[in-house]
Amino acid sequence: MKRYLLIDDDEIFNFLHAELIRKADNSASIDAFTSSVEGLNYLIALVENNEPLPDFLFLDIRMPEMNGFELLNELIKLTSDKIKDIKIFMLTSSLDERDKKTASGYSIIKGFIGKTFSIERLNEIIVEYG
Amino acid sequence: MSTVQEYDKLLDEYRELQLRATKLVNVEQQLINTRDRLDHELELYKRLHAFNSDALKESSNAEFSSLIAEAIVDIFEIETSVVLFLNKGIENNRVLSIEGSLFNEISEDDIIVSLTCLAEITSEKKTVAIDRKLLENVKAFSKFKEALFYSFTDHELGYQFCIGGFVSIENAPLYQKLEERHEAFFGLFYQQVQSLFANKQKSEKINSQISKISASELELRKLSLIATRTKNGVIITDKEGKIEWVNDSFVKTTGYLLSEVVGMKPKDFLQREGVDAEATKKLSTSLSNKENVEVTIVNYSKRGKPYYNQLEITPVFDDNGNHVNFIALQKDITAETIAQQELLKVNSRFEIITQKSNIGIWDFNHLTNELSWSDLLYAQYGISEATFKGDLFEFWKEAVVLADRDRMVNDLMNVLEGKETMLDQEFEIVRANDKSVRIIKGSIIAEKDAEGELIRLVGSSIDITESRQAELKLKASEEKYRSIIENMNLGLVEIGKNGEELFSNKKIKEITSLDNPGVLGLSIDYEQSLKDKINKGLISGYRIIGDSVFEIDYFSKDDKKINLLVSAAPLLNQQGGIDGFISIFLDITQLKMLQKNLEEALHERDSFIQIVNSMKLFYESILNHSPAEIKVINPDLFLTYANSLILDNEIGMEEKLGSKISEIGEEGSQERLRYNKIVDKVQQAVDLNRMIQLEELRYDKNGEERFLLENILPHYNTDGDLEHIVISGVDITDLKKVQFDVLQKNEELKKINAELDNFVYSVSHDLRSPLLSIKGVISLVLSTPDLGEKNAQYLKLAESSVLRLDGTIQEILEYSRNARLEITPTEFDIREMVDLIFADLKYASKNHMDYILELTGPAVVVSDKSRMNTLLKNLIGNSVKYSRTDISDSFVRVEISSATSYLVIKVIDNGEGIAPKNINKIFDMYYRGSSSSVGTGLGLYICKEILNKLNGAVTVKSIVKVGTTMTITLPILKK
Repeated sequence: MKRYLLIDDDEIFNFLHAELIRKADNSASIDAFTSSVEGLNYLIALVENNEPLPDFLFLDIRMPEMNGFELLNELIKLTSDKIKDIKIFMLTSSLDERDKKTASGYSIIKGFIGKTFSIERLNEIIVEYG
Repeated sequence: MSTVQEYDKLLDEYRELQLRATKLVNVEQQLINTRDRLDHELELYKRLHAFNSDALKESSNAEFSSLIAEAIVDIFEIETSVVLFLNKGIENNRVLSIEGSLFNEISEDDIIVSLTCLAEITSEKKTVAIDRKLLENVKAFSKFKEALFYSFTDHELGYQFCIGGFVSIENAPLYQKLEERHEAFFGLFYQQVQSLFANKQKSEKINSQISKISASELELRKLSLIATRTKNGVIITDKEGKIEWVNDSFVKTTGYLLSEVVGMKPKDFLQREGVDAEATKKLSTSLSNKENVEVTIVNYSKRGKPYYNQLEITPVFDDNGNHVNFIALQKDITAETIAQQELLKVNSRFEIITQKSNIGIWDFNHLTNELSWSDLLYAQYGISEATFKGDLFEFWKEAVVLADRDRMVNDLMNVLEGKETMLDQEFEIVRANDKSVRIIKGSIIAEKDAEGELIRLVGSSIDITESRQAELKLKASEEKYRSIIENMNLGLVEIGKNGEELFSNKKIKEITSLDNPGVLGLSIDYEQSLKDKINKGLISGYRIIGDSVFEIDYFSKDDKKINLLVSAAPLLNQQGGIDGFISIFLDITQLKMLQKNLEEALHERDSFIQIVNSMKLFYESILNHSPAEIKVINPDLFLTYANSLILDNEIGMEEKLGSKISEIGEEGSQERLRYNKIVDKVQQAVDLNRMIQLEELRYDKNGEERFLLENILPHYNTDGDLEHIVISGVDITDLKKVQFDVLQKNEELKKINAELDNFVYSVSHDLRSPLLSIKGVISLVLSTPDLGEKNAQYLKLAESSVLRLDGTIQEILEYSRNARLEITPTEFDIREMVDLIFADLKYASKNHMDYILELTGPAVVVSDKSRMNTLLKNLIGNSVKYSRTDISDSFVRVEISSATSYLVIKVIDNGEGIAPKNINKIFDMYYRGSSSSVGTGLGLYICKEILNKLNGAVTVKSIVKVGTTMTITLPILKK
């Protein structure tokens, strides 16, 4: 059973993406947060309590309070290499080159997905990283 | 038993000792470790210091950063170092330096992205040592074990710096583990880099001013070169007469080195007490009155050799009439002076020769027994007629020395008695007034009447003491004199009354190459005899030099012109009659030449002085017209010069001249503080032996606030001694203002640009985001199995509207990006780009198509990546969009040939094609190929705009129902 974590401030996307994930992987266990801070706290709590971490994290870039990269920086600072097994994919609807460039520096970021992601792309990801 | 006990006791003691020894060894080891650690730290400090001084010399950012990179590897003994300066304002303004091989496999762009990523993760913390766990999160650094890293953003300069040192896992055993002290040193190092960089940036801005100043410095050098090269000695003293500088000729003449005499007054070592008192007095009077003075004075060289120094001293004043320096020109004229003196001696010898003899006469009347003496006779005997009382004969007898007295009386008796009628005598007397013994030559003649009776005696008397003594001396050294006369440098000719040659010495024969040089001898009327000689063709001309001294022009047999100085005197016999004439000749041909040379030298000196003066004026005018405020201070910190600009601008500058700059202004005043700051910098400039800059704030005479950039430049002479310090201040108030304005404008522009950027970013996100979620929901509903056909159709209509709106938004974004953003050349793989576009289109398109890419030449090209992406996406997208649905072998083929300077891209399809009448419209704004097409009709318009920006061109070939070929030609950009 794979664990999926969705962090996106747009509830519809979380809903859509959850639906798509379920279609691609019917045994999926999915958690979703619309607040990046809550999502970060959830992940930190998992690390601190030594609980199993999600296999996949779909992280939206543009969010209020704390954007996707900021969330990632905090996570790395606080948990160091303990989160290195999470496959992180950045979600974007902005098509912005700068975001792609920034993302390319992080080894933990496995990919960059334009919203909404297609079921085909999801299947590829699950096959490659599952 | 006691032995056993003792043995145990000894054993215990032995163990105890062993334990202590072990402890001692441990302590010793600890000490050694500590010492090693301290040694290492010291070494680090030394390297840090060395880096600092090297870095100060580097000029360009690239050199500077590569020096830092080298320093990191050197100082911290780390595997690979990296330095990044990123100008936040401009995309491609960056400097990256790497020392070491760890990044060899990684592209520059990736390194920069990774460094900024690491900077984000560490978020500019003070902690600089980074372990493996943190490094793993950065893609490019995941193979590294540990690192020293520091990043900082200077918002004022708009720069981000990252510096770091890295050790790979592989090679970690070869390197020292990074510890706290590494961190501490790295922190120090970083601070140094930061301040060096900030200084460098500032200094670059004013480089133009520096070059102006160095140009005037060059002129000063030229001036000093002239002074160095002249044959005359040049001395420059300060206003107190202490030597500041002398040239090489001075060193040659006097034997004193510059270093020996700096700070000394010339008179203290060149002159001797009591020698040439008159000239010395003249000199010191003129100097204290600050007047020009020319004297010839006897000076002494270092070895004590006297020489005649022709000295000309000029006081130098600045514009305001303040006395600043003396410049002294000196010339060694010993040779000329000696020749002149020789001449004078010859003249005085003539005077002796021409002195007339004094003859005294006495008369004895035999009939009256009266004896009378002439005045001269009285004088010969040291008495005067007026005061003499007594009998003259008795006086005379007493006067004659005892040895001669009887003989003399006897002689007299013989004449009286008629035994002799004429008699010559020579005897000695004691002169009455000074009791000196005189030799007298006398003669007595008896006058008799017809009967032979004696009437009277007449006697003459000459005091021949001097001539006799001279005669004696002459006799005694006759040989010597003969040889002197023969060999002397003066030609000598003696002729008789009638012009016959009596004597001529060797020299005159040598000079004239005549066998009978007597023909040149002068007689009676010297001038007349010279005229005769011209008539005879013996000489070609003469000039009167003085009383009985002439210069004659004589041509020798080989027709060489010889200048002779001749002085003549009559040759007198003892009676005062003229026996002949002596002419003395001096060959002054050489002297004349010397004189000519001297004149030339003097002329040269005059023109030199002229040059110096005009140069001086020139420099002063340069300095006075300089846009910089220039002041000069001497090594004792006294203000010696200020140009007109500073005098105009700075309050009370005139009063400051000549005072010590550390004492300007009241204690604790703003003025004093400002000058103390300058004093500090002067000290620094002298210590470092280079220019130091100082920015300061000053109020000018109008009370306005002015910013000055002072360049403090120590000036050394050729011997490396500090001569003075030039402080040149440039008013950078306007510059500052402009700089400030520009910075502010720039900031505003940046802000506006950033706002626009954010706006576009927000629009693209905020508009697209809900649209995409609608699209997602629609496709979710569409995938529901029990959806009615009609509902599905409605939803598809809705979906296509959504897609069209999304397309429109994207196109608007692309258009605005192209219009707004600067061209940023980037290196990228064009094959990857086309493949990604293909992949996106494959997902989007429902029709089956073949996607073909053919590439010739390198895949990695330099162009504007984002624009190229938009361009290709639009062109390839059009091929897909307008593919034919009635055929099954639709394709789009992209042919790229990349060369060094041009990139040619062809997008070929077998789609619908464009009708000839429409071909000219396709690049128009809002033109759409068909009403069913998605988008605004901006796609190809944007392509054309992009090509305009990138200096590219496009050609279209199309046949309806056959296909379209778009050919794009683009110059390869330079990074």
